[in-house]
Amino acid sequence: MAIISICRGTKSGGNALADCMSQKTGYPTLGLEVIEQAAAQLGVAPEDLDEKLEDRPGLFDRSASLRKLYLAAIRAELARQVVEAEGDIIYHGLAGGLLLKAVPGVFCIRLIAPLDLRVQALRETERMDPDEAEAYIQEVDEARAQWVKTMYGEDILDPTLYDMIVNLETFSVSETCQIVLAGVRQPEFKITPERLERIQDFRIASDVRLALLDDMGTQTLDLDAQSRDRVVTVTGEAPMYSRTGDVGQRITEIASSVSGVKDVVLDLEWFDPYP
Amino acid sequence: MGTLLPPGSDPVQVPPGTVAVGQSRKDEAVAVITISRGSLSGGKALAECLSRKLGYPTLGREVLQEAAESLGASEESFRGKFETTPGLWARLTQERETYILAVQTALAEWCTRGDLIYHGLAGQFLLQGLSGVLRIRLVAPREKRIEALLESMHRMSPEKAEAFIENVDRERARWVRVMYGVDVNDPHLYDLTVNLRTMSLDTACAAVVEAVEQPRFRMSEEAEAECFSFAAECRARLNRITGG
Repeated sequence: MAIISICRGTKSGGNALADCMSQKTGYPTLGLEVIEQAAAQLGVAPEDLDEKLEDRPGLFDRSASLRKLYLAAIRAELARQVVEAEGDIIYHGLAGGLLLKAVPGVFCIRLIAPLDLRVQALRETERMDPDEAEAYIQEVDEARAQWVKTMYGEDILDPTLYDMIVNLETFSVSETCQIVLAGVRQPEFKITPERLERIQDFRIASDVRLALLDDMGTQTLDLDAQSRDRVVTVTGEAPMYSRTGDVGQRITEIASSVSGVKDVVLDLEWFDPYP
Repeated sequence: MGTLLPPGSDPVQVPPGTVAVGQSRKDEAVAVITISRGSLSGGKALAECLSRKLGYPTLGREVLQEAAESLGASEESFRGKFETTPGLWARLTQERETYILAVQTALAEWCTRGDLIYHGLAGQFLLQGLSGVLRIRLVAPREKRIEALLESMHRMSPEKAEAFIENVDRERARWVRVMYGVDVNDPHLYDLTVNLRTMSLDTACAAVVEAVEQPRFRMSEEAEAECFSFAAECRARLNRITGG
């Protein structure tokens, strides 16, 4: 069928919708546990990873490179799980629409709910008083919007980022489930063998990016990786003295070590570090 | 805005079926669907697809013609005044208020006749607060909209097509901001927003059908009474203003 990605504000019913869709489709759900699994891969505590990710990036952002690494780890873990599920998965964790932007067959839903409903939900689960709950929701919403702006240059409220936006002021979670399924089950979201190959390419590119950010020799370079038919192209900038030296070779070694890679192409802008 | 009559204000109590504005509602589930969208985003095509699947009639800008006739104005001048964003002074004049009320009345009276798909301007505002109304927002990528425009206007260059669409979007957004004080792109104004970036029109249609078939959009007796009352209220107010 399709990869279903659910984006929502805090206390907007995302978990409940994921559970409902899972019951109707039999697909596994994946949420915040992707952070735990990514943290385990990097050997850091999930709380540290979560904290760095949720940090509002500032002007002098000392955590920028660490955040980039953590985000790459989450993307790689998400890609791995999508491949494992052969594209039949419901993701309701961090930034699904943005992390899966390059992947075909993703149905991206945003849930919106009026503030009073969300305040009510928070009062019931966390026993907050109304003012405290409202302030909390506004703070989390603002931080998330700022985070998306800084990391992806996108406005989280932009309706063009989502395939469907459902207003929970009108529809219940189970009604939303029915409406979303009516869309997801259509041919344009079907995971075909060709799309599975693209998903595999996404997994490979995500793993290469993570490996480059996790290596002492390459992590300070501004590199990106794409994969097509399992041939990886690494782009970005590298200092000129390394053109024939070991940096280019190191990049190739790292990319080649990722499982499934057939070949590596370097498409780098070389610059003179001592002009 | 003073022109927008919220249902229930200044009510004229009229029991269902007593207002001679058209045929009475059928017994089965009925609903009104409003489709808001940018120019060339496929709104009319979605309305037609929904009409085929649900059997509801569609209504677009024709409502302006009815409203113009009810005021004895020409459709062209009516349209110009209704659709363009007013300046500061014009905002305060009663003429514009009358025009909007005439459109609201014509649309509300259409709703009393039963199922309806409205894909004209400002449906979500003109019928704001009425039960049994499903408010859809249709979003389409700019490239697809440019392509649609170029197909219908062979002599237009892509640059001009893009500029045209930008201009229409800007004007429409300004109109909504000035008249209703909100951002037309805010998804909270709608029950469901569908995006044609990947989704085909048929898929969007299937999702909207699923949405309107949810029990909450089956018009209850109370919702039906509310609808008739609203139409009568609009008509009475329009008559008071125009002396009709």
